[in-house]
Amino acid sequence: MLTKELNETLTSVGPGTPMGELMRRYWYPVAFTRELDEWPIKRVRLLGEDFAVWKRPDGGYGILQESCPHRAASLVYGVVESEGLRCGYHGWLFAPDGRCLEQPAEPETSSFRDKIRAQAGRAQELGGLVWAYIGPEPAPELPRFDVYVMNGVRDIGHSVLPCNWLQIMENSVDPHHVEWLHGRYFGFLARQRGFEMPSAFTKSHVKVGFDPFEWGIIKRRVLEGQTEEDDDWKVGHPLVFPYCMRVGGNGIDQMQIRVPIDDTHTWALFYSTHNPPGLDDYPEQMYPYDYEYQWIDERGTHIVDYIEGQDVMAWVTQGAVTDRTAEHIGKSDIGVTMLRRMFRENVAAVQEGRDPLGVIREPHERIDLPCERSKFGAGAEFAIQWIDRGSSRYSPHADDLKKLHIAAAQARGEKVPDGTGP
Amino acid sequence: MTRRTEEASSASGAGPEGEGTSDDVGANGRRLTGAHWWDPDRRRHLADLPRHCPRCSARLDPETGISVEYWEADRRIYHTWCRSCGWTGDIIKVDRMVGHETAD
Repeated sequence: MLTKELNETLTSVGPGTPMGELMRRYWYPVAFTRELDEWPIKRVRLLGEDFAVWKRPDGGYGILQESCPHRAASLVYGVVESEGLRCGYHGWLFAPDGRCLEQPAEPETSSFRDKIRAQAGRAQELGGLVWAYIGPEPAPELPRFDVYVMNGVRDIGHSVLPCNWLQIMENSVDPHHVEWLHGRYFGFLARQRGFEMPSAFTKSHVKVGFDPFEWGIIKRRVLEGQTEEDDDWKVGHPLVFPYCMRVGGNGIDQMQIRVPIDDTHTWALFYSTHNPPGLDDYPEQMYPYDYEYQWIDERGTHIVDYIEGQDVMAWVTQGAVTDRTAEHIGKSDIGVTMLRRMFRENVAAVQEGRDPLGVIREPHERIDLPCERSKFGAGAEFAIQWIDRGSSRYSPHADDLKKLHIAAAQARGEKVPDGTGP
Repeated sequence: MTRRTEEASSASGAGPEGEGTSDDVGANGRRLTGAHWWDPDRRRHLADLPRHCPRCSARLDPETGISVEYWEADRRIYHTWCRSCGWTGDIIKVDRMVGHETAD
């Protein structure tokens, strides 16, 4: 259990809070590039603050506080111009760095505009997403993690969830939930409702381990029938500090992204790159496929007959901000314990003027993260189960993704699962 | 709530530091959220939270460290990090000293 004070410290991300200061040292996805090509300005809420993100005529991106410093009208209803973003109300013009360039109704000789500065961050594109940084300068590099830059077909399911981001991150260092939530519980549902569940998650955990590394925590497990020589222990997969988890292998690589909108809302994305072995070329995509996955039905009941829907149920039903003063955690939760300590240590690092874990300042092409290759099993059969019983089932291109995996299996000379031939 | 706060001080054996707040149960200047049927137990656990680093004696609170309680069978363990000296380790509350059982 934690004290109320510590729970509040770890879960509050607004400006001026210890965790808010830590979390402002990182880049976050805030939009799809597709969205800003369709309309060049979008309202964004990030870490408890509201912003206007826009696409500049030169192809770059900008992010400014939503509220105009003049009289607080929303800059989301502004005019995109070559020099910056102009407020739609009285025409004040702001440069991407926040300088006020024009105040059309003020006397021409006035220097009033020199006294005005809007809160500005930085924004740039990577992997079909627009990323924002709203922390202090100098801004670090935007980490180019493998999933965002590797070849393949990109498919992104996303939804806004009504809960604090930390309880989602704690799930990422909780290996035991897999055999219960996605194993026993999934099996119970499958029997009750008469469907087939993926068989990959039913094995018992013999041992779990957690090692800090330069990007976060590597999570390892030995499952029933495995040894420490298996990928699940030898390689594992990482929690990418402070708000992501990397999973996948053998044809589906995924980054699970949890963007703290504020203390009680999280934008949860499943960014998948499908790259099954056997194919050299993939269909051209102007943008990644993006779509909202459904997690609650019209009666307010959680949709739990797919993997991520089960996770969402567990995250959201813990409450908007779970009360850790009433919890009872055990030895099987040591990953959670370790993550809390890691957050506390990195809050201190920021307070002492140091870069926290995972901030990178060197330009780079690609960051490869350790991730077990054999975790999900090989072949089209598992990939199809993963799509049918995962959030990708909500993708408007789910059938195309399945065909991609079948074509790859055929190219590898493998047997195509019954009833799935193109 | 006043009565609850008094209970908290009494149950925890809080000394000069013992205090509650108007809206929470608490002990030793630390607070809990909400009310539950197992509150007497929660207050005892709260009172047991380490208050000082075992190495440098610096005070441990949300600003100066972290101590997270977890269970291992009957043992209550406080995973602790001290910002002041960097010490990291587990502090174990011992209720009863038991050695090896003798074989018959």
